Amino acid sequence: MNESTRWQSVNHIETYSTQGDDDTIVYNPLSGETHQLNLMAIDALNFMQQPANLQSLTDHICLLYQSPNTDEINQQMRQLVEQFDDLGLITVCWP
Amino acid sequence: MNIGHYSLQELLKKTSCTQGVCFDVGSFTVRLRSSHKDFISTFRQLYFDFPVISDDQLIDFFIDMQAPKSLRRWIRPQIIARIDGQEPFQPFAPSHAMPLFEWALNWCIARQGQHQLMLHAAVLEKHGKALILPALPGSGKSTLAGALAQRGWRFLSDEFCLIHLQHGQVIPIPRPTPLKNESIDVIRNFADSVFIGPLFEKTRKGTIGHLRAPTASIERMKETATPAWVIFPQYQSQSPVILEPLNKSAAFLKLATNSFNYSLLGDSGFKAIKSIIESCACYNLNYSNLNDVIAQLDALSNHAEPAL
Repeated sequence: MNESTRWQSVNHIETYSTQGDDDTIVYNPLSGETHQLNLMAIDALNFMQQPANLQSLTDHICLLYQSPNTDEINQQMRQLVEQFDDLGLITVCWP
Repeated sequence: MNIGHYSLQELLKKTSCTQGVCFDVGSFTVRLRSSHKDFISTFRQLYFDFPVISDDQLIDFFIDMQAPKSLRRWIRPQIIARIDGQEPFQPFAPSHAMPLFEWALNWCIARQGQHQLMLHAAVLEKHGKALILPALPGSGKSTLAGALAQRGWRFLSDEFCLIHLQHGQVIPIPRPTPLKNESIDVIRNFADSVFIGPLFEKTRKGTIGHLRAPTASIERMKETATPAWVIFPQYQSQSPVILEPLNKSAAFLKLATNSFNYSLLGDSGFKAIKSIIESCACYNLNYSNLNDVIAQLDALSNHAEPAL
């Protein structure tokens, strides 16, 4: 994955979540598949409603969770972006 | 006029003619043709209270239960279910015509009910509120539904829970419940008033006996109900009643997995499941004793606000 690649969530994703429930159900109309995302994953996906690269996503999540910006977090975000890409939940924003 | 208003001879005469007998099963209409006397006799017992409709209106399914046009008509006879001219099932022994008819009707509904969300669930109703019991085979769903129907709950369906995509209501389809193996005696011993048809042994699912739906449930089969509870039952020998709240995201996925056509409906399916989960209290249920579990479910329904 190129560090400068910018990603954005696909359009018309439907979500379902309730108060007190950490998980969110996500329906991807492009694949027709339904996924269960934890709190951090849904925060990341929401952030990617606007184009974002790996670094800006990591910065956002670190700020949100008041966590130091470490290589470990960066690696987690990289894996998350790869998973979202595999699931078709995000797409590359071409310049 | 209901099926039971015909004597067996009258019904057999009607089902043997070209038009067959047409009847209403709630959200679908069926034309049945057959000259097989034993089958029609069982059909009459199990569909006794279902309304007959005139044979000049549009019918959803035409099921023709006849002997094949071959030597098997005479040598080791068989019976086939011809559905709108197709033969999707292997022939059965004539003694098993009733299970074949029920499976044929399931097949029809599964194919043509795609405009609704279809869940594999039993449904009962009290005070206008629907209790949805989605479950895998072997969970005791039919036994529990059959028992609840004998204790003041209106029976809406055993196999298919049909949810209208626009208004989200459960549409009744109170057909006979196929009880399997030990469940047959459990329900027989549970209530004296139940009617269970002849037993069919050595089917794919073991021994089957069909439990006739209560007359009152069939009389009200045009009344929809508002989903209020989604409860995933699991019979477990010797288990006390354990009714555990289930978080909504887990309930969503369990219910979607339980649907026959969730993926096919796409966005509409997601919205339908979301609507059900939002409006229902969701639980996992373990039980062994029917009286105990019914007391618990009665208490749940008595504490609920009536549906508007």
